[in-house]
Amino acid sequence: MKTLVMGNEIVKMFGQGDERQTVLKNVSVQIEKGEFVAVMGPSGSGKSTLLFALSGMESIDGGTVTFNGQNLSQLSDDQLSKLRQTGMGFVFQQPTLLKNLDILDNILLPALRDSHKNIAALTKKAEMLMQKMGIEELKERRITEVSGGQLQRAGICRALLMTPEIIFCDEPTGALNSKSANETMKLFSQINAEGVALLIVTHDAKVAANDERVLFMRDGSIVDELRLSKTGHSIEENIKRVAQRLEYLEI
Amino acid sequence: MFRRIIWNDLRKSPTISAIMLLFITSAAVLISLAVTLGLQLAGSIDTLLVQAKTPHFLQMHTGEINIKRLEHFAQENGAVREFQVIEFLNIDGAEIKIGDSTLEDSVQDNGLTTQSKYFDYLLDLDGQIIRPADGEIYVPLSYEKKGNELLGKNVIVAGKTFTVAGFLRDSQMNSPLASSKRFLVSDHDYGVMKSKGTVEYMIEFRLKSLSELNAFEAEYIGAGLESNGPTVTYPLFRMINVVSDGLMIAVLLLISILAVMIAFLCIRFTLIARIEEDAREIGIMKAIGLRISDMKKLYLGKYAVIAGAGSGMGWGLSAALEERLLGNIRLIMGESATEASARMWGAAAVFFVFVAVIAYVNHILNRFQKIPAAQAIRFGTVVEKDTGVRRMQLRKNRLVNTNVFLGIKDVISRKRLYMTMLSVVIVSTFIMLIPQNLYSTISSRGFTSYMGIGRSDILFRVQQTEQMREKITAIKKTLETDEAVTKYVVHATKRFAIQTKNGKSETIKVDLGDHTGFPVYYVKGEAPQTEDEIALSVMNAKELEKKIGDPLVLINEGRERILKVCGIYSDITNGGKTAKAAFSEKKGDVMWYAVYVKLKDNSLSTAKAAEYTKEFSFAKVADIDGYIAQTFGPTIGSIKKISAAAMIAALLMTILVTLLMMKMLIAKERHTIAVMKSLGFTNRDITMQYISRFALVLFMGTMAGTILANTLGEMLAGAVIASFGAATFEFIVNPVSAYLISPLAMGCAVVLAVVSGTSGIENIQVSAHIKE
Repeated sequence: MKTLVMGNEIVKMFGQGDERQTVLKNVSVQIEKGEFVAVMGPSGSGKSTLLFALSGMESIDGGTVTFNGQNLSQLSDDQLSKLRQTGMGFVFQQPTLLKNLDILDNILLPALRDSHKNIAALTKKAEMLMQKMGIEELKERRITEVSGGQLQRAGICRALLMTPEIIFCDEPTGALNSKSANETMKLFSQINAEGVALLIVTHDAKVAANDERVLFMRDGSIVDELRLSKTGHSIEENIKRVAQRLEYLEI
Repeated sequence: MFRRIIWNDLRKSPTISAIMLLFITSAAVLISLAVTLGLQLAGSIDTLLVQAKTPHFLQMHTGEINIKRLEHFAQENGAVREFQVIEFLNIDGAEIKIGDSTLEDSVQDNGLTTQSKYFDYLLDLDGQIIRPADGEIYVPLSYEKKGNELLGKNVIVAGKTFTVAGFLRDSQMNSPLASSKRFLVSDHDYGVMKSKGTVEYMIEFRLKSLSELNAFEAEYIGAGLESNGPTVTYPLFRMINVVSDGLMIAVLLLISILAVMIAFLCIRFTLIARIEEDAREIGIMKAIGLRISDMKKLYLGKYAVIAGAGSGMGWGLSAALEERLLGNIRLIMGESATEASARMWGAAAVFFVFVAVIAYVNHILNRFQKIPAAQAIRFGTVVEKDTGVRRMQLRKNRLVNTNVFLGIKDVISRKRLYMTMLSVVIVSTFIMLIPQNLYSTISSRGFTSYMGIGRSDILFRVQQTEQMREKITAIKKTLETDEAVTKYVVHATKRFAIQTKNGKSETIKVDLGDHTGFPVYYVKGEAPQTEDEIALSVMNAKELEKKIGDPLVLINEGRERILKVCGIYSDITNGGKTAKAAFSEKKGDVMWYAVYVKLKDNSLSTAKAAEYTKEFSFAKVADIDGYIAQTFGPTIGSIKKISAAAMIAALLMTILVTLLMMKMLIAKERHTIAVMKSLGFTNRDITMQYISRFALVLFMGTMAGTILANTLGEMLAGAVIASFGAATFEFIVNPVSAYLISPLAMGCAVVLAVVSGTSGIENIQVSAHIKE
């Protein structure tokens, strides 16, 4: 497999003076193309910060992050934006849709940032994705007129529209009920099966159990790693393994 | 606890709090100044008119005078308390040399007089009646104002040298709008000088009661007494004194009202934005059963602090500025007897601003009741009602760039929020254009046609002098042979008796001659062309209740002449009461002649006017630009200053309000900006969205402001001009400054404020606002 994202000796600090805190301590991580990786750890361990650092949305104080071999800290605002628009997708815990636009426009928004070419083809693709996610009848609704689960699906459609190489997900099921959470994870598995890499930050062992690899973080460092894909275990067994590892690590 | 919350809140948004404070302070300063200065001006004028014992009725007269008959009339008339006739020795401007320059170019009548015996006193700067010694001269204050350091220097009048002993306050002629200026000398010196000029008589009355003025005026005219000159009454003296400073105070008052409006708009905007920002907290507080009045207290407290500080600072500043601004009023009019009460009313106006701010904040906070708790808690926002914005879909947009589309859609979907900015732009455009349009109108050549003066290049005026007809003939002869002249007409103004509707007799001044060559602006009808036609000024038409086609009976050479009213025109000269006719009349005294001249090349008008001035020293010759400059010079000058100040104020206001809005919006929309960035929008894209929002508001605001300035503004300016005698008034707009420079300046101001306001966008880290 080819390396898609590579983080090498990442250092990230917050605060100033005496209150300065190191949140990521020389973290190195590698994500292959098409890989499905989960990051787990207690609150404040640096999981979300790592996700934002790897996606170039958080500046770093030491080390390097490369995407397809390009060093992110050497890219201009324009180049980084272009990369986010076409190479990466994002799904967050809370719906991050714009309230002035209807659901379909929200999904199309990043694709129409700098061009109105292929608008018909893009609209068709967005509608197809909505159908796949079971929200096709919501395209003209405002965001205040749909449920939280439906909004999250719309967010996933938006992340997928530009066929990114990787989707960064920060607690994507955190605000959903268990049924919606299961459906969302099924969708992520389907997306991954189509060759899109995923990096998911989660507290939930059930979510992590769907992934190929789980990274465990504590106090700004990766303290352990669990490979799940080649073990031949069922999901239930994987959930148990993840839970045991968490217990062992006292996370 | 309560105090700490308010203090923390103020510290959290220092720029916004500072801008709010600035607006409230400015509103308080301006309103306090306008009220204090207005009352001081009124008080000073009253004091001056009382100290000087200004006449209630004044009849200027040139020619023969029968003092005995006048004295008899005064004794017999029960309304008269005091009566006097004083002389005004009209001296040719070229014969008066003040410092190094003569008054040759002055369009005003300058002359000598002596101190009055009974009333109409000329006062010194301490309000005392001046008693000049021989060889001394007291100069009108308007010449002191022009910056001449004259005290102790010489003034040469027709070859005789006087020493300037001081300056005089003249309750009649202080204002630049008064057409004459009196220099005061001793009785002995006056006697010596008497042969050097033309004597004009000022027949003056003070009445037992001012309420009898109208009846007295009618009785005086009815008695057929001396009346070869203008008539001026006490209310007109008062008005002339008010106009110059009053105009400044009126503008100050107007701007202060606008400043209060803008302060209110900013309060409205910051509060609405704050309520939107705090929607989730408000929703939660409502959900847990907190009373609305408790929530209101927190917001009210903060604004009470800002309003209190702003009003206090405003009052202090106005007290400091007042002294400087009062200087001119004190100099021209003297002290006011009502100074303390004026200051008290100024403070009351500031207190009113404070109370109004609190009441307004309280009113806006009633929105709390309308916040749906469930929506607020879930989305952290209150979504405005959908008003057609649903149809505006990004996917259907083919016209504009996505960033521009998002900007426009934001404005349309949050109209209420942007209404503040729109109102500010409208007000700013209005403030910017009104003085500008007024300036371009008054300073344009076309404006003279509103004043009752035909559109010509050069204007001669020959007042009553000896051998007037011969002098006019000489002028005609020169013009006839001058190759630079393409045409000219001579108008002679004479006084005629007319019969009013109720059978009474009145006199009117009629301008006789050819009125088609240099027409004035006719509101209705046209210029008189035949011998039986007459055109009336708006004021005369109104007073005589005449309209086009009505007959007017004029007494000419003892016989009735029936004329038909053929036109009504604007006139702001001679108190606005004039008439124009084309019939020829050889007998009767001519009050004055006016000669209108058109040149082949109007760029030569200044040089030609100077040439004629030398040749005809008895006449007042002015090129039309010079005439406008002298008659309206001070007014044009002030309006030019006001228009520059208004432009700067409007631009500053726009920059500040835009900056305020930007700060508020960006603080509020940090999350949305972070989302945009995560989707691949660059800082430039987001800046473009903000510029688009404000550009749309700017476009709509400038359009509305320009339309308003040219409609409502024109009406307002027209109302002011109408009080001088012009019926209709249209702005003569300078399109380059009004439609190009001003909107461009506004555009630059807004873009500057938006760009500087969006500089914070770069620092918004996606992770800080999206991280769970």
